Amino acid sequence: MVRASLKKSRYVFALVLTILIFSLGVLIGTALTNSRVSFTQDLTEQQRLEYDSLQLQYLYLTEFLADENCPAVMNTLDQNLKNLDTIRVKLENYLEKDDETKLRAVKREYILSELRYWFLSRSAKKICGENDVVSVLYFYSSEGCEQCANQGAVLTSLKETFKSNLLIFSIDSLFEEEPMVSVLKDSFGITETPTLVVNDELIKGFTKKEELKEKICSKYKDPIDACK
Amino acid sequence: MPDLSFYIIWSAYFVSLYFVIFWILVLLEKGYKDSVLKPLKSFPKVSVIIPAYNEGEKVAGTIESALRLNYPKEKLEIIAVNHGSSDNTLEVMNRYREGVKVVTYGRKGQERKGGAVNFGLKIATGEFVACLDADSSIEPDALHKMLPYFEDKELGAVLPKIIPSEPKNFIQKIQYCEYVVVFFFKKMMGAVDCLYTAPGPFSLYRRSVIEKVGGFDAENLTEDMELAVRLQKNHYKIIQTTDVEANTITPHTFKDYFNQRNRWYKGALFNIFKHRDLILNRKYGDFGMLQMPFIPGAAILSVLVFTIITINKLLVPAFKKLQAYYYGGINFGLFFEWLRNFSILDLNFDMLFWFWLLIVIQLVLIVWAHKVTKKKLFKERKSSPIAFLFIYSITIFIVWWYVIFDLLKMKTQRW
Repeated sequence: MVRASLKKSRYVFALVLTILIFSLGVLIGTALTNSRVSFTQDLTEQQRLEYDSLQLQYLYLTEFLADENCPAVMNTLDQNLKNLDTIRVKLENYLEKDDETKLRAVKREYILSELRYWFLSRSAKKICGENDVVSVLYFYSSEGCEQCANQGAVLTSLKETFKSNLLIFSIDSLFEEEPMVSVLKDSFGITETPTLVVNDELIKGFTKKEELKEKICSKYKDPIDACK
Repeated sequence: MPDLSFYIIWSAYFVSLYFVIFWILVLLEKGYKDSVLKPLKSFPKVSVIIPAYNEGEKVAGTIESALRLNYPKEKLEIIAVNHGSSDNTLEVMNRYREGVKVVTYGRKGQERKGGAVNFGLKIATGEFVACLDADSSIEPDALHKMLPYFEDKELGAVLPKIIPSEPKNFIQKIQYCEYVVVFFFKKMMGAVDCLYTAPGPFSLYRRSVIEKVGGFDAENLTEDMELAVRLQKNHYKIIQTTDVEANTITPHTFKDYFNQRNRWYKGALFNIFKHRDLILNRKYGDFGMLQMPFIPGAAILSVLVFTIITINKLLVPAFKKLQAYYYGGINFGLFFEWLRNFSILDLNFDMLFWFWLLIVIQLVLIVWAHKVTKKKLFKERKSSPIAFLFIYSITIFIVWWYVIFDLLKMKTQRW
């Protein structure tokens, strides 16, 4: 007595339906990635405009030696950096979900902006004096870095304390598509993450909040309120 | 870069989607209505075996339900097997001596319920035998509805649908919903001869068939499943009815619930292993190709997926968050910042899509199953569909881990 209750067509049909629904999911995923790309591209484009404006402000500074405008320029710089960081957080979040080439292109754009601001801040500091602004170049890696999230939290918290007296530039040290990243890594001698460059001093490995705060405070020529 | 856990989760999605679609196709093709059969012309003799071990509180109700069966008294033999109880089970049984054969079977070695039922089978004289667990009851018209199926000579067993009786607390209400949904799946499985268990509450067998396949496995953890697999192995049919209802008392504490499931799932694994020659064996049709590999496969996949999700999506992120709070301090301003910059695109849609897809499919199945069984979803306050949706699967995951833990310890268990 052999029962042949095995209808192949049902297995195949179920498979076809499953693949169809699955493809629908993949399609939604692709559509989503595209909207994420255009969303971040829009943000970056706005950012570009902000940068152009700031650069003009800087040119104005140098041309007319109008250092009474320094605080305004530094404030704009600070504000722009803050917006840029929002884009970074979003990008990292999206890239975690799907590692899309278009998204990585936006990230490259972001890194370039970050570096442009860094250069601008260095030049501006020369004109406006280095007294009350400390810059931190923060090298992190988006993958395989246990302490980076903690270092990020420390920096965010210190940023809250120092406000516009502290400028933080975050660079993903794994982003080798952008040659500038390698150039910076080589010139600063970055071998591990997290690594911080406080003004020009290199601090390797995770740095605790109190320790880093002291370090930053020591860089101000005149002690600022946050350090007292 | 996607890692192993990524592939495991996606294949789990794919596989579960595939199985749900497969069963829905079966249902759409075969329907869920019972076949219309000719009423009984003659009344064959039926033996009802009630095995009981320390069921003094519940066995009376079970015996009374058997006595209420609407069937000629001279054709109905009720055998109550007291399986070496240490409580007043025997005393309660003896109260019904008039209509019931009461026998005592001592506990032997590793024997479990199967041993007691086998003992009852030896005494039984009926052409058909039903086993009725001592915590269950059966509707009076059951035999009239079930016996006509045995016109089919290849039929080994007919199953009633099992519904928990009077669920009182939350745990029982989840199980109520579960039993309704499980019935629904069993109906679909039955349509393509994939039933792998003939549960204790009033599964009706042809006695010659049980004898031919060698009776119950006396030491088995889930002897009712093992026998059903053996019936499939010998190409006997098993039918799941919609119209016959048996009731059973479900565990009312989490501890009892987990212990019961632990026994069931462990028994299932043991029995699949025992009959592993059926796995992916075309000779056994859908049962061999689909059902046999499905049970261990679902176990492995669900354990893996739940473990990965618990660790990767809950524990690790929670730990990282806490660590960041520890080093950076808690900053409420940051939260508002996040809220202000929030975009709908930040949500993890890929995961959400699949999560909601599975939830919606399950919801459809739950509603459909309640409709087919004519049970109320909310009105009677017996079923807890929402809790079933969100909590049940978590308990199953815990049970599977519990089973793995036990297997590692190779703990033996008694009922």
